[in-house]
Amino acid sequence: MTASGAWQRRIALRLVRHAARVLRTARPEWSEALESELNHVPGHYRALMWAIGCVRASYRERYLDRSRPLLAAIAVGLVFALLDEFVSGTLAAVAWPQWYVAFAGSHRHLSLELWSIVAVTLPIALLAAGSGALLARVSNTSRIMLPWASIGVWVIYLLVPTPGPCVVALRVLWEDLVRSPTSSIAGVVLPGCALIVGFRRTRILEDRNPPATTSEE
Amino acid sequence: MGRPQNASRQTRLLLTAMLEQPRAWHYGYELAKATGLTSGTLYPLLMRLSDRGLLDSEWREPQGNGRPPRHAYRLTAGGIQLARESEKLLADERIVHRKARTDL
Repeated sequence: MTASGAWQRRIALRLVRHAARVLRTARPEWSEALESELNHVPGHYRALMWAIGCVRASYRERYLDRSRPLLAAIAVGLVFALLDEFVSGTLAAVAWPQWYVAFAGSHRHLSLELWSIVAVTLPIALLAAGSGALLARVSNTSRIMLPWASIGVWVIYLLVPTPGPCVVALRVLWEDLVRSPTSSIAGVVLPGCALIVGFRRTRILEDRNPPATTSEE
Repeated sequence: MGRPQNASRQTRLLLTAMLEQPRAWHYGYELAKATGLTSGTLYPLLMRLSDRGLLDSEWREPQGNGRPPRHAYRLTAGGIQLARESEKLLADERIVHRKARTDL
């Protein structure tokens, strides 16, 4: 055993102990597995490389992999918020000609609100259902807090002040709410519910048709 | 969930390596050598497969004296089935790669 080799082995041992400590609360059995396996790795350099990999695995397991579903939920929420803005803007531009804006301002009529819900909110809700289904596929877990996290990101995005005419987003939202309460509430509630329903339906369908390969002995 | 088409290439490599002796117990370092995976990739895969019920794990006494017990892994029935599908997918991939090379 050379001096430099012993040095590498000592570092490897410290690294693996650190990896085991990082992993101990999340996966105690696996933390012991990492520690014990180092004794069976021949060669000091290989042991060092093995230990570095163990540190990577422990951090990845403790932090990244555990938070991956939540990160996916946040990403889906953000993507949905951007799509919502783009699609609702496009739909509004297509469906709301100039004459309608003036007309809607002077006629606070329930039918106009319903028209808005059908023309804009329902397509957005369909988009939300698709986002929920996508989240269920990518998250690979049934936790119901995930679609809520997506909705939370979307709502926060709605509340963030945007430049241009919407200097104070809350005020604009409030004015919208006062002017057309039904469509404003529906504009949040329907897509929110659709996202949750899309997520739940996809999870239920996947649970109902589990792949044959998951069967235990 | 065991959807081989969704399993990563590393997962398929690992399953295929374990399939060579499907009922035998395998150790971490040997699996890393057989697959070429680093411990940083191998252990998260083993944990994931174990969580999904595709692997059994247990502590086994090593053959040599004075060494601590080792954590060993073995495919379950579900794991063997998934490994067979993975092996087929890997073989198909190799055929496609070979075809693409010869076409060039």
